[in-house]
Parts: sequence; structure tokens; C-alpha cells
Amino acid sequence: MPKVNAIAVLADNLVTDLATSRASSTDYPICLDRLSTRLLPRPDQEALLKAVANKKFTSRAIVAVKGRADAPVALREHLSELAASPLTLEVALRVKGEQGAPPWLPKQLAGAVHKDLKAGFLKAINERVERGDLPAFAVAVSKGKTVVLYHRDRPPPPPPPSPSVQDAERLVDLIRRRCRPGEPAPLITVAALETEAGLTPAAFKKAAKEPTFAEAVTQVKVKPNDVLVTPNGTGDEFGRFVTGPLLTRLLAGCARTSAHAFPTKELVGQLADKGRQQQVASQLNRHDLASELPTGVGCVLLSDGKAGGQNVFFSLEHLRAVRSAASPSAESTPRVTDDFATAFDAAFARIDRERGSNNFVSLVNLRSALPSVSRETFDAGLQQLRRERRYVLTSDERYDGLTPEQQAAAIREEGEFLLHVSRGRP
Amino acid sequence: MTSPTAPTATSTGKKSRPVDAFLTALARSNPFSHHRVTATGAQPIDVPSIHDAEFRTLISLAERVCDQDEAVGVVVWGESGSGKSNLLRRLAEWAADGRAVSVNFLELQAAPDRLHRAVLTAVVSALTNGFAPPWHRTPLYLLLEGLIRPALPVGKQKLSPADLGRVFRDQMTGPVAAAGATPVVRSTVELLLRFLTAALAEKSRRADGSPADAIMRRLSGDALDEEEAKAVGARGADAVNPLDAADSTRVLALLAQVARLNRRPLILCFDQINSLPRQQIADVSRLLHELNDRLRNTLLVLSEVRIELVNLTETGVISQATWDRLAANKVEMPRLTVPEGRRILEARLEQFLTHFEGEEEVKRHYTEDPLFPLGEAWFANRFSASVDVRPRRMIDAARERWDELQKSLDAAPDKGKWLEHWPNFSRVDLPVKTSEQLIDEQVEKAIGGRVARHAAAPNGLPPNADNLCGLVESLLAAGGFGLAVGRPKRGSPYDLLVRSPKSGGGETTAGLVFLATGSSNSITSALGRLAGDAKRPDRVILVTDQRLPLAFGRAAKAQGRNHYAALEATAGFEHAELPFAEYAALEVLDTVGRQESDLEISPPGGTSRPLKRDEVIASYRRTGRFTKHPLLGRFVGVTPPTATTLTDVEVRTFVGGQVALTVGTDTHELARQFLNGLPADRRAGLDTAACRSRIEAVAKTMAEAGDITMTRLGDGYFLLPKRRPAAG
Repeated sequence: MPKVNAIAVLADNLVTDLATSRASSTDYPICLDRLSTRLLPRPDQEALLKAVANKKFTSRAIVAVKGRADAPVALREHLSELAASPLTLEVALRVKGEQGAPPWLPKQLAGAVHKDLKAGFLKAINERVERGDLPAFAVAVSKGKTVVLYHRDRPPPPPPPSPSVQDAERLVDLIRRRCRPGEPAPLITVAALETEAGLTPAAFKKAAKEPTFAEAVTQVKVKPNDVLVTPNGTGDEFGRFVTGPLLTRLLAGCARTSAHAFPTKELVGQLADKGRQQQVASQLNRHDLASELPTGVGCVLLSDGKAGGQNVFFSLEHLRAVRSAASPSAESTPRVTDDFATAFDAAFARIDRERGSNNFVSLVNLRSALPSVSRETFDAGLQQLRRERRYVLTSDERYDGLTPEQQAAAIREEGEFLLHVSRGRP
Repeated sequence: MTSPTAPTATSTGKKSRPVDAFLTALARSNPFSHHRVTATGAQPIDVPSIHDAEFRTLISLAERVCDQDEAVGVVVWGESGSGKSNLLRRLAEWAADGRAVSVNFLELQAAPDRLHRAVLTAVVSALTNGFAPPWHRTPLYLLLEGLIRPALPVGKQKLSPADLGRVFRDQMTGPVAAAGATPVVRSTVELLLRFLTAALAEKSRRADGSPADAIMRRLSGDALDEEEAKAVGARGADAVNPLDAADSTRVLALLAQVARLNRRPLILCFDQINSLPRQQIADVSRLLHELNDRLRNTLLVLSEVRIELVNLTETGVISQATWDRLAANKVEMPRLTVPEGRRILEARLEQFLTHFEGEEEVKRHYTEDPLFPLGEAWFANRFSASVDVRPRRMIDAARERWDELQKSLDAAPDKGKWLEHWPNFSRVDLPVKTSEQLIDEQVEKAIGGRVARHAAAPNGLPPNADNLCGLVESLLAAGGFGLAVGRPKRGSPYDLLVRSPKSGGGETTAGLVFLATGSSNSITSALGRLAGDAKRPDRVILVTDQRLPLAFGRAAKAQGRNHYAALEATAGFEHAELPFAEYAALEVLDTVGRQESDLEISPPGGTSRPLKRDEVIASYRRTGRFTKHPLLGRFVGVTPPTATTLTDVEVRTFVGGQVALTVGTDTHELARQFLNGLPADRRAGLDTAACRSRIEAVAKTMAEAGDITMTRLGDGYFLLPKRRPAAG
């Protein structure tokens, strides 16, 4: 008895059912997997794909895309019908979508279908595009003189944001990450942001101009060269920034030995922009500021003639110092340290800037910059700053190459000459 | 770290108690004996939380260069012993996990015009496991396969050769455009395709992958013979010369783009260049500048002691433009807080004590005292006043404490009761070591660490004749054996000329030739020039790398073979074929000598201090490291007995003349020139160190008299002619 070829039988059955489908004229061309549901028992996919590759099938019928059960199929005499079928266009879009990103030229889509269908398929698409009657799932977009297509459910990916937009997003993210919920935004300078972001100056400049950045933050220019940034928010975040970190910064900027309290007008005078001065002054001159003031800062309302008044701000340290002037010994040390820290910060920043901003300043230069500070006070103050990790001392490896001046300026610790100062990690 | 020694039977024959194993381990090993990074990944104990922020900064930079397809420079700087090398080790480990292509560039002694090719060779070596098959297991194969995989049709595992070529070339369109579609880039694409085809054939055992060897040599910049060029599909005329600097950079750029298509950045690390000769520092920094400008998807890491780098920029050795690029990002290595440093000790102790977890007495001690056996009391006493600490300093202190414990245990009459009395034991004064002994110990440790590094990552030092020559020159010149070492004039068949004094007077000249190429044409040409040299020196030494044996060509009577036979028959001809270990030994001796400030000793009664290069070189001499080396030993076998007297007048004349001729020079270079200029009988017993100290002493008097200007360097001085007003 001759051996029965199950695949050939299945191929025969498929062709027969396909012919039946054509005769009924309702569902033709038909997708291969749909056609297979009409067979009992329903063949598995592997057998189905083998059957459509069998000569018994290929001699009489054709699948629009080889090896795909979701591709439409038709009898060979209906090639043009199959080529023009929306099902063929849809499977072509699907096949291309699995290999790459849309959109595609009609010619590229034609590359996905059976070679016998290519010409007809291309012609049908071009006609449909010309007539404007593409199936609903197919979207055509003009690209120069030609047209490209994609599936409605799988549109082309949006173009990647430009590097400067990406940088801008990163900058905003960096600022937001430093903010804690419920607390005023911390003081961030543009220079610090640039360093933290690790961008080149040119890239940073570009990113800062992007609306992504410019619209997400408020920039406050403080004389001479600082620019502070704070994120915009839905609530009164700017107000809290002004009465918190910015106030502290402006107060420190006014610090001098001959005065301890400073009116709003003088504080906002450090801001470079007139409009910003008015905006900040209106915040600082509010009469209900007490609960929002940063720790250690006080304010009183000062008469300003008939015009009303303006707030005057001061450090509470100074207020206490006045009260306890008769017994200075207990309070003297912290006051010296605070003054020292401010002076040290300023001297360090200046010298470091002059020497290339390497965060590496010699104690020789720092001691010279603070001639009125005694050695004892300087060393004690610096020790405190080290303990707070605000500054770090490092040794000079050239132990025998130090000049007497360097040796004198260095701090000797465990046999090392600690000569260089760097800002510490916060 | 030294692993605890296994317990051994006691000589008394008594039954050993469980605690004996602990005491034996304590006596025989010291978990704090190594503080230096010994190899890529070979430092067994790390505390990831320490310098984690710095590590994450490097990672984010590496990811950024890949995302944004750019080259970015980053300087990792801090004090010596602050953990820079450990940070780079972490970075290399991170990269080795398939996240990046990372290369630690070691061939810093290569000539300036060959530095670019040396970097390319190092990258290709890293990508091909040191130019070694099986090729289908190399990182390069995986990168190239990574390009093809997304293009494979669904359900297909392989492509026909034609499809493979089409898909590969399609995929390389972007990289070629980014690297610049120059002839060398296009031919490199074809080489890579050939390599991929050969590796695939090797993988499926259809062929042995033999063409890949020549392909990799060409990819790394080496010349090919015409036959080899044809075999790899290149035009003979295109491949018979080594790649120049510009083409080497273009190939590097292409490889960086191939890595990017696999979402991997290329990371090139340069560790401590400050101790190279000043001209070489300038050349290496220019190389970094160019790579920064011409590559993409590349992170360039320069790790350096901060004060040295600041000096190099302030004195203009590194130009401002270069510095701006390199220091676009800075990763500072701060000192640790004492609690952070303590975690290093705890981690090492924990690993040591893991072996004795079951021993009750030991367990009781470390439960009560987390720093057992060092002791909380010792720690508090030692570090309570410290604000911060360098990691190395803390490990050194723990090592010294451990040494004390060992001595007290050794001196204990009943060792079994030592633990009962711990931590109250009688202190035993450690024998006082001389400075020389301390230096030798430090040098030994540093050398051991670096040798281990090469053993762990041999791909980091591919065959490179140029670098080999630079290392030999540097070591022989510094060795202190009265040798005059110099490069001959252009056109000479030799790479290096070494004049050494004879014991009976006069001197012997040796010409050295370094060859490390697989090209038989290059070898034949070099040997031909040697064989035809009419003014041959007393000795001719051919130095080759054992990994690249002399290739004479296929013919039995190849011309190169004839030249070699003729040379072998000549008196005074020697052939030194260096195994990898001996090449690595040269790199180790040179690097440890150059990175001397990274080594510190605490002399008895004195304070801790870094070593000087002269001290390290003197240690090499004391411990016979020169004489034991198969190449260096050929020159330094006999140390001349007595040193010559130098007069101030001759030194002053020399310094004045040299400084006037140049726009400034350093005392190391002057010492080398001075020594080379002396007649052999006067050079005997002198070394560059002795010449340098004499030159510096005389230069100080000249500076005080206002004749010259003298600027302090890390080690030595820079001398400048005094500017005088123009006459009239």
C-alpha cells in the first residue's frame, strides 16, 4: 500500500478550501491561519507552514509572505487580487515592523511580499496612495517627492531629543533631586550645577538656553558673577526660596564688621536684574515673615518715613552678642569660628579661581589672604571646617622640596606636612 | 592579602587545640601586608561603599560618552595612597562584565610618533585576548556578532556569505561615517568582515581561523607582507607599511563606534605619567588631547597625584588647551573619615577570621571586640585624634600592629596562653630595620604587586618593539653602572647604542635592535641592514619578543634567514628572545621606579615619607634585579669599583653650556647627557643619580649667583637660562 503523505494531503485540503472560499466570495483572499480553522482537525502551525510550502499547494496557490501564517493566501489565478488586498498590505507593514522602525517606502514594503506579488503590490499601493483610499490602518506621509507608510497602531518613534534638550532635562533633574519635599529649594549656583552635571561649558550654555531648562527653573543673578537657580513649582516655591536660602545668601553677601543688620533694599541691591530686585523685595518686605525665616536669622520692621517700612534682617548671633557684651568669654569662640568660616570661604574661592579652579589651594596663600587671623584661630577654625567635611587637607608629597615658608604654613600631622586645602564632599 | 596559613602539626607532637590553627595563621600571615592594587581585580577585599560616589561618577561618564557618542576626558586625582588605582580597578571590573571595552594603557615609553599605534595595539590586544585564538571567543568577535544578530531574519541562525557581507557593510555604514570614510577606515571594515568570517568558520569547525592572525596584526597597525595582504583581501601596497598616527587614530575611532553599536563605551586609562621624562609627558598629554578631539564614544581617564598634575600644568608641560580637555571632569579622591577607614580594616579582618568561625575562644574575642585581634583600644589610641585618613596610612598602621602581635606571640613562653591574655601582652620591641631594608621591602611589595597584575592581565602588554626599547633605555640609563645610553642618528641600523666601560680601560659599544613584528619584509629589511653594517659595534644584540618569533617568510632560502645565519656567524652577535615575563619585568622595574612617590617608608624615629627614584634604583642594584634580568644583565654584570671625582668647574661649564643651548631642561636629562659625555674611564663607578646630585648642587650656586633660574620639580629641578637684556 503506498505511503500517505500527510503534508501533501493537508496541502490539497487547503487548496480545496481556498477554492470554496473563493466560490462563496465573502472571505477572499483569506489569511492562512483563518483558512486553517476551517479544517478538522485543525492543523498545527508547523504542519500548516510545511503544507503551504508543498508543491501541491504552491503550484495552485500563493501565500503573500513566505513562512507567515498571518499572511493572506489566494489561488494563483488571482494574483492581482492578492497583491491589491488590504490584508497583504497589512502583513507587509507587520513584517517590516518586526525588522525595524517605520515608516517605509512602498518599494521597501514590496520587498516583504512574495516575489510574484511584488509588481502588483507596488502598483496597487501607488494607485491607492494616488486615489487617497488607503485602508484605515495604513497611514501615508509625504517625504520629499515620495510617500512613506506606516501602520496606524505602530507609528514612527518620535525623533530623539537633541543633545542639548537631553542635557537640559538632566540639569532640571539634578536640581529637582536636590530638593526635599516640604523644604525650600537649596541654594544652587549655575557654576556648581555645571560642575555637577559634568558638561562642557559650551554644552552647558546650550542646555541652559533650552526651554526645557529655562521654563523649569527661575534664575537669580547675584552680583558680581553668581547665578542661582531654583525650580519652578505649582505652589509658592519661589517665595520659600527667597525667604530661605536666598535670604541667607544675601545676608552673607552684606557681611562686614561695621554693620550687623541690613535692610531689604540693601540685600536686593546684590541682585543684578531690576525686575528681580522688585520681585524679591516684595517677598522680603512681607510683614508675616517670622515663621518662614531661616534658622539663625531675625528681622524687624524699620520705619521708612511715611512710605511705610521695610524689613531689616540680621543674624541672631549678633543679636545675642550685643546682649551678652558684658560677659564675652562664653560666646566668643563660636562667633570667631563663624566669622572665620565666612572669611575662609571667600578667600578660598578667590584664590582657587585665580589658580585655575582646581579646588587646590596652598595654606601659604590662604594664611596670607587672612593676615588679621591669628595662627591659633586659623588652625582651630580650619580644624572645625575639616571636622564638618567642608574642607579637606592634603599632604605635599615633596616632603624635602618644601620651602621654609611652605613648611611654616603647613599643618604638621602624623609626620606629614598638610599644605593644600580642597573643598570637601558635602 | 595573604591568606591564612593552614595549621600544621607542632614539633612537640602534642595534640593541637582548635585555637592553634588561628595562632599559626596569625603568626604566619598578615592580612594587611598588601595595600596596593596588585592586578585588575586581584585585590580580593574591597569595601564598595568607600569612594562609591567617585566610582558612580566614572560610570555615569562612561554611560554618557556612549549615549551622546562623544569623547570625554576625566582626571582622577588625589594624594598618593588615596585609592586612585583601586578606583580604576573597580572601573575595569565593571567594564569586564560586558559593559565597556576598557584598556589600561601601559606602553608609555613608546616614541611620540608611535604612541597612537601603541594605543591601537593595546586596544586590539584587549579585544582579542592578546592576539590569541580561539577567535570566536574574543571580545572583538562578540562585538561584531552583536552587529549582525539584529539583522538575522526571524528563525534564522546564520547568513550566507553574501548576505553576511551585505548585512555587515550595512551595519558599518554609521561607524564608517562617524570615523570618516577614509581608505584606511574602509579597508578596516573589510578586515573586520574577514575576521568575522574566519572566526565563524573556526566556530563551526569549517576552518582553523588562520587568516585572523594576520588580520589582527594589520588591525593593530602592524605591516603585512604582500602575500599576507593578499590572503586577507587587502591590496599589497596598502598594507606593507605600518599605520601612521593619523590612520591609527581613525581605526581606533572605528572600533569605538563598533563598540557603541553594542552599547559599550571605550575606556582608555592612563595611570600616572608624571614621572616620565618631561618631553614624554608632553607627548603623552598631546596624545590624550588628540584622542579627545578625534574619537567618539570614548572615556579618557588620567589618574595622577594631584600636586604633580597641578605642577605639570603650571609649568606648561601640559598645555592649557590639553588640560582643558583632560580636566573637563575631575574626580577627586578625598581622604576617608576615620569610620570609613575603619571599614577597610573590618573587611580584611572579617575575611581572615572567617576561617576560624567554629573556634569558640576566637569567636568570643571577636564578638566582644569587632577589631580583634588588632583591638578597639589600639584603634582608639591610634586614630581618635585624626580628622581623616588616607586608606594606605590606615592599612599600614594595621600592618604594623599585626607585626607587633606576631612578635609578642613569638616571644610568648606559652603560646597557648597568649590568647587568654590578649590584649594585655608584653610588647616586644621589633628589631630596628635600616632604611635600606625598609626600602627593599616596599620595592619588593610593589614589584610583586605589579608582576601579579601582568600575570592576571597579560593582554595589557602586547608585543611592542618601540616600548621595549624605551624601557631598556630608561632602565640602563638610570641603573648606575656607568653606562652611556643613547639613541643613534636617524638611518642607523640600531635602535639604541650602549657604551660600557671595560675593566682594563676603554669601553665597549653595543648596538641593540628591537623587533616585534610578524612581517617578514620588515624583519628581512632590519636584519639586512644589520648584516650589511660596515661599522659594526663590538656587540650587536637583537632583541625580540617570544610571542612574535622572527618571521623569515615561507621559502627555505628566504633572504631574512640568510641574513640571520650570517649574523649568527659573526663575532659579537647575540639574540635575546624575551619571554613575556621578562618583558613584563622591564615594565615593572621602570614603572615602580617612576612611581616612586607612591611608595612610602617610616624610618625608625623618623616620619613617613615617599621614596625617591634614586632610592628605588639603588634597591634594584642591592637586590640584583638588574643582573638577574636576561637582557639588562648583559650590560650590568660588573660594577666598576671606584667612582670618579667630578670637579665643580667641569660641571658648571657643562650646565652653563647646556642651559644656554636650550630653553630649559631638567636635571635628570642633564645628568644623563653629562654621564654620556664623559670618557669611559671617568664614567666608571658613576651613575645618573650621582651626576644629578652634583649638577643640582652646582646649579644652586649658579642660581644664587643669578646665572640661571632653578624651579623645583617633583623629583629634581628645572633649569632655565636667565633672560638678559639685549645688547645695545
